[in-house]
Amino acid sequence: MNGPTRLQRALVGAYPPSFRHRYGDELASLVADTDTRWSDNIDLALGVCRAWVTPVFGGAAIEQRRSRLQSTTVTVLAAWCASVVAAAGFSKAVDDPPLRALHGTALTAYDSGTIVVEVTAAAVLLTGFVFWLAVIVPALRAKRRDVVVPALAPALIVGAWLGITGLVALFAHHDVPRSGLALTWPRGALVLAVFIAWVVATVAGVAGCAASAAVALRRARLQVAWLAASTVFAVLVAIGITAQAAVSVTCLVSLSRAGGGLDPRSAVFSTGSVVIVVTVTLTAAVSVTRGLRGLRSGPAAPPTPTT
Amino acid sequence: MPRVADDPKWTDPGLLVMGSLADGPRHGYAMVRDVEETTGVRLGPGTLYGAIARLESRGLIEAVDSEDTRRRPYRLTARGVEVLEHQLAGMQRFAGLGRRRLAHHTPILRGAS
Repeated sequence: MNGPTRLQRALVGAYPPSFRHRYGDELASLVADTDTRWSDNIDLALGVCRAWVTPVFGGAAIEQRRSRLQSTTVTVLAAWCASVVAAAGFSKAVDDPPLRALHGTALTAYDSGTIVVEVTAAAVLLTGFVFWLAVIVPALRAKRRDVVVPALAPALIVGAWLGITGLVALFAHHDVPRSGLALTWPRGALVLAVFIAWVVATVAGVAGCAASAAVALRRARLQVAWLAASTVFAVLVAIGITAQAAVSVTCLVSLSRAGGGLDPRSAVFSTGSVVIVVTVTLTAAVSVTRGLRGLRSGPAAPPTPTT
Repeated sequence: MPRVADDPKWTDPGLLVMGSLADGPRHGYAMVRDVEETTGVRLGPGTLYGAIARLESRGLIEAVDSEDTRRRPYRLTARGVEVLEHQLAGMQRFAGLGRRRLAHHTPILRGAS
């Protein structure tokens, strides 16, 4: 018995939160008690993958249902965040500056996609605000710092991101005077480095927003009726992401078929964005299908006491 | 009769876990030791807790109240006992059939050895 290694502790920590909450201590104890081999590390890594891809929720039936609905809500939220980043990348690739081939079917698809993204974003932000109030108001009353901090984190992250983006835009304006206050395609090593840093900060910020919202939702332990409502809304958001994926693919195919449609840079960015949005669409679809089963599994029940 | 969807596969670690718990409540480490001693199969930690989670979510096993949350024992539920009995009976029938067929078809092999 050598105790768990750093790698094993990291692997146990990589399990989904619901699994870790239920079995994390036992799993860590088993790893500590066992004379571990390298095959155990591989087994743990495979277990982590299985737990994320096909999540299983233990505990009482009400806990299983809560975890299922919560998991769908969080997965679709993360998928939507990724789809927004992909939409921004796609827009930058084909419409800033506009490609010559962006007309006809491609333009119709692009404009439709813009509307879909904006409507979905407005719906998510409005509904998300209602859920945010449902999480943070009771937490503030109960002085639950463990919920308030992650619930406030997205606002802080967005504020920091706006500040960074403003600085980057000023830098771009200074470095490329004729570009105005818009972000331009990088010219030169320094601008490229700043651009890449901004992209990384943006992706990290979006991931941070999704992760902190997920943590706040899990710790708040909303009533199952709220989680059922959030799952129904997640279905609508998933439909929005699917529509975005469909028009993105249509736009990309139309652009690539048009003569002189996509230069290499636009091709890489637009294709990468479409791959991301299609991947998150499939992820959201799978999670929503499982969440709908959770919705059908019984009437809403009162929350169980927090231990 | 239990639903087919509840039946663990013959090679499923779930069956090994249920077989171990048929002897009484055990925690994770005790299950690993028992399964290894009785069958020679070493269940990795990820495989074991994946199986425990699946069996618990299907209501085939349940945690026993314990103050030590790091070594929580599990036991078979009534439904788990029913499913395990059904599965073992099926395996026994199959094993008996296989042996009878082997006895009928392998006299040449026996004679050769």
